[in-house]
Amino acid sequence: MSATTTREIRLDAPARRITFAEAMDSEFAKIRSVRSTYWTLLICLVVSVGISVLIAAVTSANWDQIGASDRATMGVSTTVSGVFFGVLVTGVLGVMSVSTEYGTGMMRTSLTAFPRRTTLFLAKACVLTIVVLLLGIVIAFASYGLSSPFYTSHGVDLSLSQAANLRALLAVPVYLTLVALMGLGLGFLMRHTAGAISTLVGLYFVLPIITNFLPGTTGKDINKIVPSNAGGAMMATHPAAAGATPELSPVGGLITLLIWTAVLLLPALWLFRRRDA
Amino acid sequence: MIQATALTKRYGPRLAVDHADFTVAPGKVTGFLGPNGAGKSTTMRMILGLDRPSSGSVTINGVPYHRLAAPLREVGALLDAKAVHGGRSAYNHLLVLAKANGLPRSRVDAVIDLVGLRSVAKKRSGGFSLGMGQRLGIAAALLGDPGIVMFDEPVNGLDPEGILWIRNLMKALAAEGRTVFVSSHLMSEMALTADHLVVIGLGKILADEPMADFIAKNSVSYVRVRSPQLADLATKMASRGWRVDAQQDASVHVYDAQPAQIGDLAGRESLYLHELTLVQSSLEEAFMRLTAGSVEYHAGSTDPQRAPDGAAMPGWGTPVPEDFRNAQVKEHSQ
Amino acid sequence: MAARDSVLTPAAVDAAGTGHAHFGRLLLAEWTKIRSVRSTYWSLIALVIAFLFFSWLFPYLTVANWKQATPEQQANLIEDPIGSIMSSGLFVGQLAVAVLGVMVTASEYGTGMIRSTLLASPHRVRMLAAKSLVFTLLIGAIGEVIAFAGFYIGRLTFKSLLTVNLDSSNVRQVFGVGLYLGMLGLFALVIGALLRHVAGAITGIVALLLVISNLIQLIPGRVGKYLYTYEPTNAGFAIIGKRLPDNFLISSWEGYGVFAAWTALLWALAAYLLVRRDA
Repeated sequence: MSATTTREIRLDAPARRITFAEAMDSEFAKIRSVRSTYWTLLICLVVSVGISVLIAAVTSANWDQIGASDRATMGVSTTVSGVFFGVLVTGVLGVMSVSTEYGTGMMRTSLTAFPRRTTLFLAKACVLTIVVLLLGIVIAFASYGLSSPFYTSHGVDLSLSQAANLRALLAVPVYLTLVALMGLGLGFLMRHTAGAISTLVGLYFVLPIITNFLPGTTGKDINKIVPSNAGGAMMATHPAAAGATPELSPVGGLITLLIWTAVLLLPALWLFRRRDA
Repeated sequence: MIQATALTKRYGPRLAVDHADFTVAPGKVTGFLGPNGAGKSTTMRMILGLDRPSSGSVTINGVPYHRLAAPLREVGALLDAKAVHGGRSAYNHLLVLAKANGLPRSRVDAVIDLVGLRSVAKKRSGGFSLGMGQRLGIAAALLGDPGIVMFDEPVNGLDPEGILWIRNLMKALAAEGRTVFVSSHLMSEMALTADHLVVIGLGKILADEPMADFIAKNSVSYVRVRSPQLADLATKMASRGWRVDAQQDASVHVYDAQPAQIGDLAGRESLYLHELTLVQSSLEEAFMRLTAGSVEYHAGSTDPQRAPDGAAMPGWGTPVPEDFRNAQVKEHSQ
Repeated sequence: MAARDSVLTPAAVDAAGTGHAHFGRLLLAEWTKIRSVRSTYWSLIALVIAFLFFSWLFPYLTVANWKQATPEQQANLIEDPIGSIMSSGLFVGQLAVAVLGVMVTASEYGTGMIRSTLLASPHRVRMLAAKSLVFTLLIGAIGEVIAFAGFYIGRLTFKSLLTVNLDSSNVRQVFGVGLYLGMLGLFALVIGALLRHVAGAITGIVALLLVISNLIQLIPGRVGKYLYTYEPTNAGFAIIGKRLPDNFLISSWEGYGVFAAWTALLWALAAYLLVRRDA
């Protein structure tokens, strides 16, 4: 406080040109240093794994009342059913990683330190991807590990030596990550926490309700490509049962979800580059 | 060195910054002065590449801000002390910025000590007072040991000790050869720190000159004279070529003359003097005169026509008539 | 000091009266706050459009696919046409009310507005009461308007298939829309006041409405039925139901009472914490 000169703290090292690595470093420091990150990750883990196990336990307890056709559709995706709700939380994490920067004014400070916006955008997306991917792997294996005994005891084949089962399990972190990135895109587009979360909820939980009612084959096709159904298709190991709502193939689900993510991220990047901070 | 060339920012039909040309040179404190809403913050945001100019350009050492190799090493800025994620500690906030520019961790500790935030460095910045927030913003600005520092209204919210500290800091930074660009809406604050002045009003640059020139050009003084033989005296003074303005309160304001000259004249002519007062305007008034008519927000309730005599200031820049404005001038009795 | 010496014009001082914060004035202040933010308009537009759209869509699709419907589905519809007009629109529209209710309180903490609010009306419980009353009435009123508008849209759409008339047996279902939405708005407002964090509160209430309320029925046995029945939003939603699900243990009005009791309990907690906690 008493120091009125800055001479003793001069920095003599030459300035290095800032690159993607610096942006990543900074974004990691950001996400590590707020409590809401840990809360969100913890809630996502508890919700996803907890609901998966709850459903497994209840299903196992009521096994006798479950029809043969329902039993036939059970697979790895059934052991990770909590992920359907976990995506809401990772989506919120994606939204908040951007919208809180706008809400607090931190975005202006960030851009003063790192004015190359495309690089900053990519760094933010990469850090979020890494964090959610790691969390997703934990969620996938924890859910599978804890809930699969409930099903295997009734003879459901969940062996991960089967390629389809392993692929379905690995789709979990990918699904969670893509939804987080959609949240990030919405955060950049709307710059408002409540608005972006509401839109995400609309995309995830309301859109399927609407499209589910659409008549005809076009209606069924549209219903297949809404984010939640595309995400569900990624984790499927059996084709949909005859009477049930038709689904995309796992690869089709992945591609559809990638397109959804791109549809949100590309305009987000374009606007982020153009708009005044 | 900051250089703005025909810098313009348009929000719909409104020109927030209107073809601004100015240069901020190293080694001195340049004050950026203008009433609230004149375009100071918009200009500063454009310098930092936060807002995109509608036309024109502004460069830092010859390049636009976003092309700087490591921006914090060249420019440090305090725009808005509250532009911080409240859930992050002061230390982590600075660490985030240091990492973005590849600066060592030791710099974070150095600037925390410099601004005196050591004891609260690990606390969440959301709980900081305005003054502590301001210090954190200054720490961030000094993080990269930059050649250029920009402060937007830095003394807002600081206690007197803090204000003195930041004045001395800015002078010290300039003395080290850095470029210091500081905005304020208070002329009195600028008069104490700035060597050079850029004045902005309604987005237009109204003056860009050394402080001394600004004072010489804009400070107005006159002598108030009362006399029982006022008409006679006024004629005599006017015949000397001095400008004499009659006032409603049976006095005259005499320009271009010193009180001694007027007293001597009255003595020679054997006229009585009841008052002979040198009235000097302050820099604040010079600034208000310059920016008159270029103010965005008028204080609606303090209508100058209704304000009690001499007590309240007219709304900033309200285009008041010449004689009314003079009547508001602060007096220094001789 | 005489008013003349003040920079406040005498008119302003007179209008301010004694300066005592009457409850009527608090209501006016809260009404002004609600009406002057954009998120109110966004949410209410979303509510009205979603509700009316679904009031048309579901009857329309029912009429269009009537021949393919199973006899059981047809019987369900004939028994409870109002439920099929209202319930999907209400299911979606309630999200807008939940988000808005959370914003009314939680966003004041995000922006720091709460400190200005409490300076203006230092009696915190009264402030919360004013906020609650204004918002509940607003949402309830809009709810009733869209309920009847939706009812007539649905009735018109069903015309070729069946006649839907309001009578003593089903008028509760229509009125119930406004009752449910008003109470849900208040419930969300209270959640916002308790959590004081926009993202957390929205996520929480969306999870309650869409996830927890349904998942709870997976818990087997009598416990599951109790939890399902007494979960606040399930209990409240019963007000628009004609034939309630088998695992719902109480009547429609009792369900609404449970929802109101939950809301009152949490309101009291929020009021207590509002007084106890630093703003």
